[in-house]
Amino acid sequence: MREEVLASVLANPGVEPTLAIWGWQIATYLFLGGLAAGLMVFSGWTVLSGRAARTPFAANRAPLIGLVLLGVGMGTLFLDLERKINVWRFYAFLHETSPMSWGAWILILVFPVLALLALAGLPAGFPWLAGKLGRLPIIGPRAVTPLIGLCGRVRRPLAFLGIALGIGLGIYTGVLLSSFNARPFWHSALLGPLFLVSGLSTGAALMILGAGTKEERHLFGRIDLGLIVAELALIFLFVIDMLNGDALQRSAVAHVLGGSETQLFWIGFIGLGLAIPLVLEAAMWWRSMTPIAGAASVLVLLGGFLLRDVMVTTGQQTTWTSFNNQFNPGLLARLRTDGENPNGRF
Amino acid sequence: MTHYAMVIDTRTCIGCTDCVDACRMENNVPEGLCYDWVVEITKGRYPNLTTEFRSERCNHCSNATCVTACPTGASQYWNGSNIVVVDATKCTGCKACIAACPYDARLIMQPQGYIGKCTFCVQRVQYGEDPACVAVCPAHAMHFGLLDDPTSNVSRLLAERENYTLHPETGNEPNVFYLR
Amino acid sequence: MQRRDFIKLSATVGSSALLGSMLGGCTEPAEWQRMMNAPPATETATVCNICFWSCAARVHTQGSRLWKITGQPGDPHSDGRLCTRGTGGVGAYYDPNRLIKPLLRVTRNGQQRFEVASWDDALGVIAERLTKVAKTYGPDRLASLVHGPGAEHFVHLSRAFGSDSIAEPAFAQCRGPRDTGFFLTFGEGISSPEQTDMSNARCVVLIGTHLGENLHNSQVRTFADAIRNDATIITVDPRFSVAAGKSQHWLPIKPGTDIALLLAWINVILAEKLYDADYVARNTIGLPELAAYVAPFTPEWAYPATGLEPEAIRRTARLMAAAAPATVIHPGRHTVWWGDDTQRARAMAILAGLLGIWGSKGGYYLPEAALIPDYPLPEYPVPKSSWRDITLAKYPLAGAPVTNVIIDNALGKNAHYRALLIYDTNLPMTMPGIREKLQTASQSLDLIVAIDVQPSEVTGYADVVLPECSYLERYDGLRNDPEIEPCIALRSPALPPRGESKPGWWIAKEIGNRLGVADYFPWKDYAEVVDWQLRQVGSSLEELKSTGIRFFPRTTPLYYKKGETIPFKTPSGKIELYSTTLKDAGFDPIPRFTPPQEARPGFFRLNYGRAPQHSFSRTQNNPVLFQLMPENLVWIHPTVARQFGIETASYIQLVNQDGVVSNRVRVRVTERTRPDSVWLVHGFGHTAEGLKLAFGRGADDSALMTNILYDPIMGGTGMRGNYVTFRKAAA
Ligand SMILES: Nc1nc2c(c(=O)[nH]1)N[C@H]1C(S)=C(S)[C@@H](COP(=O)(O)OP(=O)(O)OC[C@H]3O[C@@H](n4cnc5c(=O)[nH]c(N)nc54)[C@H](O)[C@@H]3O)O[C@H]1N2
Ligand SMILES: Nc1nc2c(c(=O)[nH]1)N[C@H]1C(S)=C(S)[C@@H](COP(=O)(O)OP(=O)(O)OC[C@H]3O[C@@H](n4cnc5c(=O)[nH]c(N)nc54)[C@H](O)[C@@H]3O)O[C@H]1N2
Ligand code: SF4
Ligand code: SF4
Ligand code: SF4
Ligand code: SF4
Ligand code: SF4
Ligand SMILES: [Mo]
Repeated sequence: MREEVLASVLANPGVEPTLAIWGWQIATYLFLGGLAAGLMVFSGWTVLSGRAARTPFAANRAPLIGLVLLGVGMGTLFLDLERKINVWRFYAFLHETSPMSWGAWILILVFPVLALLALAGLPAGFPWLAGKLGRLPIIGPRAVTPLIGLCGRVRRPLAFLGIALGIGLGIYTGVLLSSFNARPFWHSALLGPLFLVSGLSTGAALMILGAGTKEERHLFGRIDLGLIVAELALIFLFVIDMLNGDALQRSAVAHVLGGSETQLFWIGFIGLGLAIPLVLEAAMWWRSMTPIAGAASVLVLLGGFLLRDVMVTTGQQTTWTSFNNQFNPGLLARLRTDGENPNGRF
Repeated sequence: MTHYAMVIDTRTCIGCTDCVDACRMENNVPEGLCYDWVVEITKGRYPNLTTEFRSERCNHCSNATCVTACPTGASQYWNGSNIVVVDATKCTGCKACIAACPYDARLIMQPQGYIGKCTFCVQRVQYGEDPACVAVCPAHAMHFGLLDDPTSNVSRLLAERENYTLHPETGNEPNVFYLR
Repeated sequence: MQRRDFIKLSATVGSSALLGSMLGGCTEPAEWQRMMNAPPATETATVCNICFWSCAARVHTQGSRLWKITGQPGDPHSDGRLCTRGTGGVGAYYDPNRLIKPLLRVTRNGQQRFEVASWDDALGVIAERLTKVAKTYGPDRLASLVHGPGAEHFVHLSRAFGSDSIAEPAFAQCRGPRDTGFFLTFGEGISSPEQTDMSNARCVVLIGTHLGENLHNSQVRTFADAIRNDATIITVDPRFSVAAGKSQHWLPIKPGTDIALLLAWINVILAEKLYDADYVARNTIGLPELAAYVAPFTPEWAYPATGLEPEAIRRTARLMAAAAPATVIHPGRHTVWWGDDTQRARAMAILAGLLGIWGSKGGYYLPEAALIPDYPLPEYPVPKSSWRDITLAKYPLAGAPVTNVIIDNALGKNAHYRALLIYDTNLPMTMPGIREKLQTASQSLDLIVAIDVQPSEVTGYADVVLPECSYLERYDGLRNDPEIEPCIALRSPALPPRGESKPGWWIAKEIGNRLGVADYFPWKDYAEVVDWQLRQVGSSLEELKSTGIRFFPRTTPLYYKKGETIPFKTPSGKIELYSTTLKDAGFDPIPRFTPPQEARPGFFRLNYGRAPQHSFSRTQNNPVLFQLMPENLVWIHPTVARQFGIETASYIQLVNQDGVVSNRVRVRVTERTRPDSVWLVHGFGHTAEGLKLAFGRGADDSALMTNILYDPIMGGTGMRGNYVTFRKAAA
């Protein structure tokens, strides 16, 4: 028999009893980041491949929506910071070994490119908005309108950049996690491709939802079908990879194979988020019906979020250490919430 | 690099947790939080038993993944040594370093939000003093010093006695050693 | 940030926190960054009071803020290192539940309660009632139950008043049997600190003594020295204690059978002639009687009783004899176990005597205290009746007043004692079975005064509760314990007393003044006494304030020389292997083994002891130590846990053989306890609501001790004859 206990109490909030430093904020950011990446890639692709007219949503509207979603994602990222006042420090420094640092800088590059892409698509995608912006006092005619014009003219290079950065952003969301050797569940090279494919898939799903034409819906339906198959394959490989990994990885993957995250992973992510959309989108192949397409896309988006959520939650709980508090760590809350100021009593 | 190491003798360590206590006092660690902890491992069946106590903390890794993961440079090596510290004026509380530490040695300081951890008591080490936990250990089970110096206490102990580090497979090159 | 601000941690989500960290956080450096350039703290000399080991220490303050307490470098007790509890002494100062005002029991509308009183009123009530007791019955009817170094002020007060009935739980609840047993054998008890020369020992034998968990500072340090020196360590303990884990030879003895083992060891040593014949011939009497007596007690004889393999008994006997006289037979400290404790101590002393370790290097060194003259004061009056008159009738060989005898003589209308002064002892948890008696006594007594630092259980029985300030805020007498090198240490105040709390010396003096014995308290400040004493030995308060300690040269040797005939202080002048004193008093002259009572089926022996994070029942509410160990656990062996369906980390209640039910206590299922016993750390399960952190946390071993095995020789309260079974507690 082997018994391992802590002789003192370890109850650092967020770290013990189980590591839980990142919550919905990070899952949401990773999801929205991936989604925005997908939107950028497909939008750029429709522009470069000359499909813009047949895929009006993807070409003209998606960039602005991506911009907004990415903004929201950055917002949740900010919410997660424990010391928000120092947020600017991300941009005082590029730490080449830190994926978090790369991510911060990628965002700084993605954001303007996405914004310019959005501007390029504005006259066709959101004419009322383009008009409104153009009528803004002073900067409207002098800056906005010429800028929109300029963006329209350099749209192809922008689209090219957008694809490149989109792929970067998509992979980054996975690499961020997989770079943590300390968390066995994250430590897989498959996480980058998996998150990229998932990001593309959610991007495609949003394209289906917003599709301006039947052809556009069909196109992205087929693309998404392929991506879902790819994602299933990657997930399968990921689980196999973990099962064949070291003891730590085997016990890590147990979290989704019978452990605490099993239901969310299998019923939520694989079932609702991948399998059902797979069937639905396959059905769309021969008979496109708006409600089916809509349901499929919503489920894919849900699945995309669940993937991030399960990954973030589970990964944190998997660790090299195993601390077993013998004393009830909850008792320390008595000290922390006591709120009694000893000096106040005298 | 100035290479500091801590060497802890599990033969004499009695698991009293004085090291945890002294660290809290010395470093004004807020109520309920800690930078170090003591693990007790019992093996066997009554009456064939062994118990080992191990005082654990940040390993001040030579290859610290918390430092590499930090986006702002807040997590850093102190003064060209392997002592890993967090500059609170640069820390965003993004927690990448917590996720990156295989030893779960970091924590969020409450309520300030910067990342706290064992500092090897640099404020003492800068004057050549032992860290507070080392200086308090009633069993004299803890030792601190320079690995670059082959005549130092820690170098000698490591040369003479069988020892191990925690999870060397992490590749972090931990610098807290345990004597068997 | 203030360390002790009891900040709210979990409540920091939400807007105010966000705003706070946005506004306040930006340039604020980390604590270590602040400390890199922090100015040095002020240091004040003190002596730790979290237990009675009395380690010299330094208190570090920054302005009015107490930062930390560290050991006084060079001090033989602390060696510059305080133990876990001493380091946590900071919490004794900051504890928000401390007593800071005198309290008087009053009855309003038929309801009793405590009301805050002025010092003048509280002291007035004490003086008035004590004067009445003195007039009606005599001052000898005041009994004092005191403990700790601060007790000296109240011992002085009591003796000046005219009473010598002053008992400490250190005798009948702690060291009494050991000191009696060693006194009967060597003519001297064991001192505190125990004179065990473990640093130089080649073999250390621990019988029960759970060093490591029992965290008496220099004991643990020298024990670690023995480990480092590869000394042979033999631990006799039914539980796999920390010390057992450090031993090459752990003898997992069946509880209560140590005398059988000791007799078997003696048997082997005599049968195999493993002792120094010349030494024994010159320094002992009674060898023939002993040899004849132990002849049948072979290891094979001891096996069924102790459960220890004969081979293991033989091997360990040979090892300790081979290392002798550099062998420490640790005399133990908390020795009130099974009621035959003086005899067990005798058996240990006989073993030690045969091995010739008294006064030997690596055995028991000869400790020496410094010679510090007493402050000149009038002679104490001779009390009308002495504690001896009452105690010795019951326990003929008690060398000191017995707490239980005092309480027993404070019960009922015709009780001998009429007033009780309690200082620094928490009787309800210290003396098992005392709660009801205290309750009864409180009906007959004219006055109960409790002087404490926190609202402990004992204060609930008092008429007057006086708040003493903590040791960090007061002067006490110089520490002058016998040591390897005579060394004194100063306790001086590092901070002003919190609230209206006062130092013990002030309280004693004020009571003395009101009782008309002001002559015995001629000082304005106790510092004068300390300074006067120091000046007699060529030092001064000034000096000790900065140095904290001072050594004096030895005037006697540390060890006896080899071949020396030692002048023992026994009636025969020799080590009494056979004790005529015991025989004459009607007891066994050589220890006899009687098997302990067996447990009823389904019941388990209640074993108890120390944890390194706490002292007795005094530290559970200390916010610093609470963080290390907020509750006690009940250790249960896996087979028993399985049998009862009990799981680790669940909460259960313990029910003892008389149906007493404990508070809920968390389970630790572990191989480290014997299947027939459970283990509980003493001091938890507080019932005093004023101790907000400790109240209701864990189980109280004392409450489960309803079968007390009094030692007929000296009155010790044997605590180990109790058994428990389990009841699942509501979550
Ligand atoms: N941390 C800490 N340290 C302390 C104290 C404290 O409060 N806290 N108090 C101090 C004081 S005043 C004292 S008196 C000492 C007490 O400490 P000790 O003198 O060491 O107390 P013991 O009762 O000898 O030791 C308890 C051990 O005896 C074992 N035991 C139980 N029954 C038997 C038996 O029948 N035979 C044998 N051989 N062993 C048995 C138990 O399993 C346990 O390991 O500790 C001192 N040190
Ligand atoms: N059940 C059981 N009973 C035991 C033991 C056991 O292991 N189990 N151990 C026994 C042993 S070995 C011993 S030595 C005794 C110890 O018995 P006690 O000396 O009674 O020890 P504590 O329980 O710590 O109670 C100390 C009291 O003094 C108060 N106090 C603390 N500091 C100060 C101070 O500076 N000034 C004043 N005025 N008061 C102060 C505390 O608040 C507390 O109320 O207990 C014995 N009783
Ligand atoms: S202070 Fe020393 S003996 Fe105590 S737990 Fe820490 S390392 Fe071990
Ligand atoms: S133990 Fe963790 S926190 Fe410490 S240096 Fe290594 S990686 Fe960093
Ligand atoms: S939380 Fe602070 S120290 Fe840790 S990685 Fe982020 S910025 Fe660096
Ligand atoms: S080295 Fe200093 S900071 Fe680190 S655990 Fe020890 S006392 Fe704490
Ligand atoms: S042994 Fe520990 S608690 Fe006791 S006096 Fe020394 S430091 Fe204080
Ligand atoms: Mo004791």
